Amino acid sequence: MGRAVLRRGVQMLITLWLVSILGFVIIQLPPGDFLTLLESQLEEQRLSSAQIESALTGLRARYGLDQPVYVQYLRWMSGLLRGDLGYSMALRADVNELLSERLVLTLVISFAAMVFSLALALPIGVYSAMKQYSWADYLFTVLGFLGLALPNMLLALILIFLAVTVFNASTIGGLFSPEYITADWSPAKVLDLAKHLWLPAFIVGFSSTAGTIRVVRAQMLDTLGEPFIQTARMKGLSENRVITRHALRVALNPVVSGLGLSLPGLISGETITALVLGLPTIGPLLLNALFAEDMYMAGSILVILSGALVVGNFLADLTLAWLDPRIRLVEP
Amino acid sequence: MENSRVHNTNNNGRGGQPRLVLEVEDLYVSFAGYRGHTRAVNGVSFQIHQGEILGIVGESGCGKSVTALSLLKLVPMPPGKIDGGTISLHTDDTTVDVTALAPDSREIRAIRGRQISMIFQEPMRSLHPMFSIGDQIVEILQQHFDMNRREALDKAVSLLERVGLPEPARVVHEFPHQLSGGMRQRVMIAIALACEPQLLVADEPTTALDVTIQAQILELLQALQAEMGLAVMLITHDMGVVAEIADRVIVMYLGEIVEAASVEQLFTNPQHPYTQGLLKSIPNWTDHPKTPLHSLAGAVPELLDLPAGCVFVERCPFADKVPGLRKPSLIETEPGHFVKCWLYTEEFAHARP
Repeated sequence: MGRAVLRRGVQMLITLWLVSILGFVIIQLPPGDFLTLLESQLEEQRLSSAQIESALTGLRARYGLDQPVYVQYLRWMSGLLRGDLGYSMALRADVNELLSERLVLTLVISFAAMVFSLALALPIGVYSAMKQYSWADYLFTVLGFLGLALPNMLLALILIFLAVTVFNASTIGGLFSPEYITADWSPAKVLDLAKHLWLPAFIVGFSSTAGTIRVVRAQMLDTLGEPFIQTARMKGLSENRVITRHALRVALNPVVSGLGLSLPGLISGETITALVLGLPTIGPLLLNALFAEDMYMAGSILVILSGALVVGNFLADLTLAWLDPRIRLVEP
Repeated sequence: MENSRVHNTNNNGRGGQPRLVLEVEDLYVSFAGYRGHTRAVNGVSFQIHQGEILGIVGESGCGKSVTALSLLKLVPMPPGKIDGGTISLHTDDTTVDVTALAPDSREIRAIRGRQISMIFQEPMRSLHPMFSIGDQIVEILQQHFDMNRREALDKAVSLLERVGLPEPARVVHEFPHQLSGGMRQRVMIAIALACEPQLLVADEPTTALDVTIQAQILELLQALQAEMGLAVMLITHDMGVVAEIADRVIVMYLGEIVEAASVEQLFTNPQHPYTQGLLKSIPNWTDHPKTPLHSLAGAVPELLDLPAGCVFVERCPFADKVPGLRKPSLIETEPGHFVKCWLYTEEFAHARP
């Protein structure tokens, strides 16, 4: 087991390294760089071309943009290894500083969305399977497909519209009340966050809830037809115990592996939702960084997202091994 | 509704009249489906006594498994439904009609695994893949007895030893995927017999196993049955298995009992044309290798449109000589030998071959 974990750890590092190269290259692919944008801005300020040129050359040297791409990459990479994500040219600040709080908030929202989604999807999925083709099952099926089909940001817009027109809400969106936005962290601020969290958690988690309901339902239907369920009933166990201890345990496997994959989806999927709701998460940051060809910022976020995917996958695999002895014994 | 009953003639050489364990009377089970009602079991009656192995044979879809599942109320309802009849389980002090109990009631759950146990066709899939063998035995013990985990695990080890598994103390910690099919079926038997039930229903317990393992499992069942004074209902489509270990045999066709007899009677004097056909279909090793295998004419009709009269009329070689469109009743042709066929009524004795 220990060896398997170690091997997976090395695989993860290699994967992340490849992702960082790929991400960096892709960011460099569009013509021009960050300074192209700056150049056009300076031109609008009617500066002489000599002034512009000297300003750009200074910046180019400062950011290392006059170096070949691989040198730029190595510079960024060596910083990355020391935990320094580089400097955001567009925002004129350290990426570390810009990301740290937003990353925490993003993880909080993602986690809340995941908890919300599971808390809703598991019981509904099981119920739908047990009462297959009942009116309630059909209702959840319709809601489920609606959840899958409806983009999160549209749901966000609808909810904001309802909140403002029907419920006369004065503040909607955001993660904090205005007085706490710039305040330092305090118990009161955490409480305020908790109060605001449910809406983004609901919206971000909505489509994955719908998906999970479908998976749980299908898995339960498959599992309930297995002979070992009949064995469990034959033992005299109550139906509740047959469902929760015997059937659900087996049905959960794909849900767990799905969770591992959902982490980056939750983080990146909330980008548009975050824009609509005005959430201080990393999604909008990534979008702007890509527009501005702010390569250290964009590259760092991409590596963090892939890190979330790889780590999430790894955690899911560990959970699966813990849940299922058949997986536990297979050396990868 | 007919009311003929298959009486038990206990000829398993044990002396005295053994206790009646289970009495099924005029059982009807059907399934609702999109294309209509499927009548899976139609007026089946039989008895099982302590210490007896009752074989139930018939081809797929003849209602033998549904009959077996009905004894534990394990037929999925809906779509399944018990339309009539009684299943009386006699315990030391009481008699319970299983058909009257709700499928998840405390009463039926006290019977499952404790009074009546069942083992299934596919040992590869009948054990829970994620629980250790020990946990799966402990579960049934703790369900019915007041035992702590330690005691139950000890008991599990001794049960595994009893069903002939090598190194029971190691196997108890293993998982089903680490065992072979034969070993898994032994574990299933250990689970089924953990609470010393009165009746073991074995639904094709050897079908999925290879031949040498089949023989071992049958021997094990026979040994445990004798040791525990267990009643066994053995469902199979293998006449060889029946000949080997059953005391009495019931032949089912399309949800009805067409013949019931002791093993000797059935194999020396098969009476129903269906039984005769089945026995003739067994390849004989003394035959010339080029002898074509015998097969019953026709195919099993759909359960959705059952023949109105005799269930076998469409495939019966004597159909033109008897009033097949009327239903025959089960008649006793010699002590303990029952057959549901017009040929054995006095009226049509002349048509007998």
